[in-house]
Amino acid sequence: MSLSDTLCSPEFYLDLKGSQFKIPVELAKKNFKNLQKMIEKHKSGVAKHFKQLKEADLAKQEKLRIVNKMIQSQEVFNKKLSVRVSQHNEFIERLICRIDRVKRLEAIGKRARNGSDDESETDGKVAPVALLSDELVDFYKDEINLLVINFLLKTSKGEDPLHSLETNPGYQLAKHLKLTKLIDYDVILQGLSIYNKIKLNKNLKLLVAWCSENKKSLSQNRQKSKTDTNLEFETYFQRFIEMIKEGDLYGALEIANKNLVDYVDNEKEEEEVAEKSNFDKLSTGVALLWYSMIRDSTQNMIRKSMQVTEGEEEIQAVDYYDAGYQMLDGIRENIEPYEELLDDRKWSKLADFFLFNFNLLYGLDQRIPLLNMLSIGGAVLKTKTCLTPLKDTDDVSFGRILNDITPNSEWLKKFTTNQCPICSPDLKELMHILPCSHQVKSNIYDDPVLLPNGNIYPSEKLLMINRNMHYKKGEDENGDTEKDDDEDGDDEAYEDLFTTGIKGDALWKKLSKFVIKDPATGENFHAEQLVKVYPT
Amino acid sequence: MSRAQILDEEIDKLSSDKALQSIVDNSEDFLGSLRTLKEKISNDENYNIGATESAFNSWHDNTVKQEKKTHRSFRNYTAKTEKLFDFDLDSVCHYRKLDLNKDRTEELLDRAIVMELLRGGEFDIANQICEDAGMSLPGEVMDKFKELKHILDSIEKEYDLVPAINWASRNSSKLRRIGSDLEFHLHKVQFIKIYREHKDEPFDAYVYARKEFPRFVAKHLDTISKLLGTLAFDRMDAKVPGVEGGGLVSSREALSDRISRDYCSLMNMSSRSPLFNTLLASYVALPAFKKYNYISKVSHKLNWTSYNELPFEVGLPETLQFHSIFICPVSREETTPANPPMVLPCRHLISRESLYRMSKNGISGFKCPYCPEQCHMSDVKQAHFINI
Repeated sequence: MSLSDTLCSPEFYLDLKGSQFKIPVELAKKNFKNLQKMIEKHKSGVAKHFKQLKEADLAKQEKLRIVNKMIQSQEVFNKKLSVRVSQHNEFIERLICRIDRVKRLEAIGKRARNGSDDESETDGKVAPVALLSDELVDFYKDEINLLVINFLLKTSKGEDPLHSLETNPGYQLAKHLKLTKLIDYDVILQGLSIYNKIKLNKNLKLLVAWCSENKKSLSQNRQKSKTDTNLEFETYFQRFIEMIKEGDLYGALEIANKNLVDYVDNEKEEEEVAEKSNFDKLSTGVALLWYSMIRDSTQNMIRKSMQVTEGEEEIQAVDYYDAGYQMLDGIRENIEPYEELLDDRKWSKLADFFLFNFNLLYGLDQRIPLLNMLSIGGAVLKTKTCLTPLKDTDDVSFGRILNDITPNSEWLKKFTTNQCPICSPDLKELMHILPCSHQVKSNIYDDPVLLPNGNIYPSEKLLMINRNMHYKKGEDENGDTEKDDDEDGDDEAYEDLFTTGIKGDALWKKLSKFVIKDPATGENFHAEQLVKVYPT
Repeated sequence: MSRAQILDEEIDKLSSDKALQSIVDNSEDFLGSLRTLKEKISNDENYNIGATESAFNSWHDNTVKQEKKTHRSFRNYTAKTEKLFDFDLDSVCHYRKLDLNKDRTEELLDRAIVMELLRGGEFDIANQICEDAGMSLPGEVMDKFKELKHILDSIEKEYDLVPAINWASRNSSKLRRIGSDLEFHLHKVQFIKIYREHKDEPFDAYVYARKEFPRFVAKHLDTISKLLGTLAFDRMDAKVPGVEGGGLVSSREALSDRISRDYCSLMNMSSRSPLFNTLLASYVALPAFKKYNYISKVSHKLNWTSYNELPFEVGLPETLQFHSIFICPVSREETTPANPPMVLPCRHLISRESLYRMSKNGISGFKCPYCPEQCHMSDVKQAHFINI
């Protein structure tokens, strides 16, 4: 199977797109659940009105009033209903869009195969191993844009990215490139919003709501991922800790009673392991109730004793045999778990744990795909030649790039081709940590020619560049290349060589009296000094 | 049945399910019967609340039915597609990867993305990212890309080549230095455009040719004569002998692509964005990674790896090969800046390490591994492959 066959195969493509076919349905399910609730509520309302209406002796006016009310509420309901249904259709539309893209890829594959069949029949030549059609490259260009959009969305700045789409670069880019149907930006940003609420605002409200909304899926998640940590438990546990921090011990106990105990006293067998660890956590939590009361005094004591020890110059090895020091150490060790619980870092941990569950639920990648993909492509493109040491730089700015692309920069002088992405100022530092590709075959142009200074060029291209630069025998190099002054007849002799159609050795013989310039170093050589080399 | 077919079928089922629409329609109907009831009451006509109520009941029954149907189609879709996906991109490479929490990865990535966006002319978004990340985007970079955007926009929207031609003639010598024929190419396209727009006045195109082409005669005589030859024909499309094919008529996209490549090259940037090329290589290489991963999982025997090098070879298309690679014929190792290729007097090449080994650190003479030539250290010269 050729490379382009693989890239065109829907199997290959779909491996990368799992969540694309899951998320819209999850969203539609949620939407449907809300729709069901709405219908339920409306039904009971209407039933009530009918009951009123049927009461025997109602005046006409009264009846009209009730019917009007019914009409009004039905109108409101219908409007809300069609909003929900159009949302539903939008989610299904996403799925259709995505499967159409798979079909498009298949079609590209078919065309490519037909094309290559024709070629091999007419020419009898073997098609080049890896030739990507423009169509295919275009297709993957969109994939690349989606990777970038996904990265931008997942690293959105600002506290509430879901409600600031206008300034969200990821969403805006998706909109400009007309790719919004191919990426579930709303889900990604919802996750991020809750994450930020937890981590930055230490607010659990959204998280609690999300947990109860997704109770069922979360328990399925736990079984699938085989983790014994329960997001719901962790959430209430965090709330419990916060109460203690605020000194509201009764409030803390209430939460423990209402929300936490259930997780340690459940009859279901499959959750046994989880419960044991929950039980342990809860008992630490209860101990925290007590620790919070003696925290200040304990820490004061430790601080004081430390001062005493530090006062006596430095700690000696013998100090470790001192009973007092040992006790102090013991106390510090004992209170460590409690300090950990009270630490603010617990919030980031909870936030991370939420995001893990969130991604699992929707089948989103836990690591940002762009990072994975760059790590793959970077390693594949990296050759031993790219292994030049990094310049030490102090900041990430565009100044570096500007500096690197100004002529006469060190980087350009070396004339390592500026096409290589790994050597480019954009990516060089990022790619530094990646391994190199594995090379087993030499890959050198067919017509290498050696200049006296050791540089080897593809001869045809070297002549071409010289032809474009119009360097001629005997002409001094004044660096006056900016001026467009060489349209006269002087270079006709050089130019003629190419129009006569001489090639190969004959051409070189004719060339011998001309001067060839090394484009990398600017040195001039007589063409007769150039020699062919045979690297392979 | 393949995965794509299953998905296609299931999505088709899901989208052809009109249960929810039926609830909407039904609700409208019920609203209608409420309105009728109201009218009848207010006009003192004969009315029957029971009939309206049974309309409600049938609405009720229908919603229950349709809800069940929708529920079923969701369940069906999930059941059929749940097991289709089990690939985890995270699992295919096992070396140290890029990590957002490390070093300056996020800033560097933001910068690379901004450069990519500038190439694509997404200035507002680029600015927004810079603002969010607290970076400042130098105006000169921005201006350069804005000019490019202007050139490309004119071509895309109005097929106006003038900004492109002006830019190319201003940078004529620079373009030629990088070996680009873009200036001539643009004049060529312009000539064809004039010819096509003024079919009745072929003289316009002729005047244009008189004015612009003489400068290029030395190099492009062949093409020019073909172009002018076509004036004698009615149409400049494929039928004209010697002119057919993509040589003369190229699409707007191809032209834009060519301009933007040369434009970036003149700024000493790679013609395609580094981010794009790297990610394209990722897609090309992914099958090889998956295969390696699979084999190593099945056989448990592939745990060898050279230090800091991928354990397998990945074939890349020519457009994604940027450096010349020389494998020393003696040691079979890739040459590096520390172990460069050396040219023997017979013009064969080997790596420096092999050279030292064969010449016993330069003391004795040795035979070229390819030919009978006897070589000495003093006749050997270091070489450097340059790819242009």
